[in-house]
Amino acid sequence: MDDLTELREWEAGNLQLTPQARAAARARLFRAIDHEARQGTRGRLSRRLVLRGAFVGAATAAAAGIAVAVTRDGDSASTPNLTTLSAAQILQKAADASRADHSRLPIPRDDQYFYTKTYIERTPLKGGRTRTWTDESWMSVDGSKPSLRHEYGKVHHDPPLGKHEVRWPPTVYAKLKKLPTDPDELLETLRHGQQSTPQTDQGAFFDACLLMQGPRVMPPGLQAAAFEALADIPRVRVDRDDVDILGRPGVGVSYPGIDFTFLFDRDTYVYLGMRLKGCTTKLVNGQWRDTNPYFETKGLQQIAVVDGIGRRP
Amino acid sequence: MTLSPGIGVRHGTRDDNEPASDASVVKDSWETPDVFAVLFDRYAGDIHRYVARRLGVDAADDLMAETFVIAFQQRRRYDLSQAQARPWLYGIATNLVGRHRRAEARRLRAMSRAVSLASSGESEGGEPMEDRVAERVSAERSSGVLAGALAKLPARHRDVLLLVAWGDLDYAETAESLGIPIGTVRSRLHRARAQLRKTVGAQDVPSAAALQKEHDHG
Repeated sequence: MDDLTELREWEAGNLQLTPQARAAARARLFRAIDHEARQGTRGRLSRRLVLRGAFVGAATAAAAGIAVAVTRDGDSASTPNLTTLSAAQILQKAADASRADHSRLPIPRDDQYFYTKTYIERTPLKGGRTRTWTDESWMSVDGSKPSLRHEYGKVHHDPPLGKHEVRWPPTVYAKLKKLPTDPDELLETLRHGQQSTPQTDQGAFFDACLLMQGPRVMPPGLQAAAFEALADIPRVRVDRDDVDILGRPGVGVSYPGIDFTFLFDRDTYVYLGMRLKGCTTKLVNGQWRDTNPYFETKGLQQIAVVDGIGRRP
Repeated sequence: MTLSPGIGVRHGTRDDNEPASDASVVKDSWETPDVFAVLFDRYAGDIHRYVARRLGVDAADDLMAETFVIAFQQRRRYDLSQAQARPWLYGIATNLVGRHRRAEARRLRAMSRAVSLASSGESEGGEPMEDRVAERVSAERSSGVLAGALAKLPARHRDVLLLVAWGDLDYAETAESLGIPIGTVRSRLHRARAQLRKTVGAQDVPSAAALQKEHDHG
């Protein structure tokens, strides 16, 4: 055996590229692609969307399904052709799978709570150690009672919704049943939301994802319509080979210029978690300034309907 | 309805059964950036493995990702006459490894030292060892010698040697990836191999494969 052959065959330790590392690298490439798209087309995501996303994501990342703690192999060999499908085709598959899936949480009463447990990892982009948390929250279904959330290790008591406050997208099942299950009509509803003027495509994208993120129990056909509505939004991007922070293979849905990627299970299309780029804000001379940018990933571990704060499934 | 393209989508009038060349993927990505992910899907594993062998798996996770981000950002400078993007990607990865020369040297020296310790431990027992254990120790010692030899190579020689050995590039591809003449590749490889043989030979350590061969032939 010559020296070159010996060198070729020499393996030093475990050199495995894990599915998580692969997905993280792929996501990094897509962030670079997004960044370029943003440079060419538009400025940053509006502050309203950032704040709303950060709040909703941090407070109660949750799913419209039931089995989010399931972990499967990362092998995509069983469905190789999906990688060559367009975003619209993948989203249509998601809609079809959602229509066929009848395993939902029981319909919650308005006086109950959505319980969620979420794993969070945050890495500062300017250096520093990665921090992790496992947050829990109890969210009043109709908002008539106080809610409790453990956010980044801190406890927050949220008062009931005020007399003129509403939640959008709604969490009360009766209100969700009133949303259209026709994708065109749903998209129209999402575009208007609570606004007097129609939202941009990115706003509609964001609300469609928030609708599926939950926590809420979706009436039959609503999640499917939401996926189909997403397919009708120009430039929505779908990454078939994503993996969430807990190692679950998923489909990443994102929109150029928005620093959020929503992840859905590759088979059931239940919400799994999200990735986002954010930053902490500081009040400087009376103005809020962005400081300390970070990259954050969240994985929904558990969702349930419970009778009270502190109760767990 | 306008939608972003699916990954792996092809453009133009190519035969649908024929995968797009790397060069055409790069060209398509000029207008449709998402298409660049096709190169990631094709070569992420190769690049990761190459960097992991040089710097370890943790650094490889980061540098492999960085390689594709840099490649994407520099894709308009890609020479479209080069059908294969592997040499280009290996070149970027090798440049990134170059920023971690000290880490690489430390890693190689540590591997060399660790094996030396294991080898000295082996001889102290004085008991005849099981064949399997002997083989493992020999293999480890051989690895240690190789690591030590690589650590002693000048960086530019090591780059050429490892692009050929671990990147599986030929001389022309190595020259392309490093942006040097092919004659330089030949001479650096020649010197690197000569030094490697000299160092390994001086240690007088049979390789694990050689031991196995001897064993097989009784």
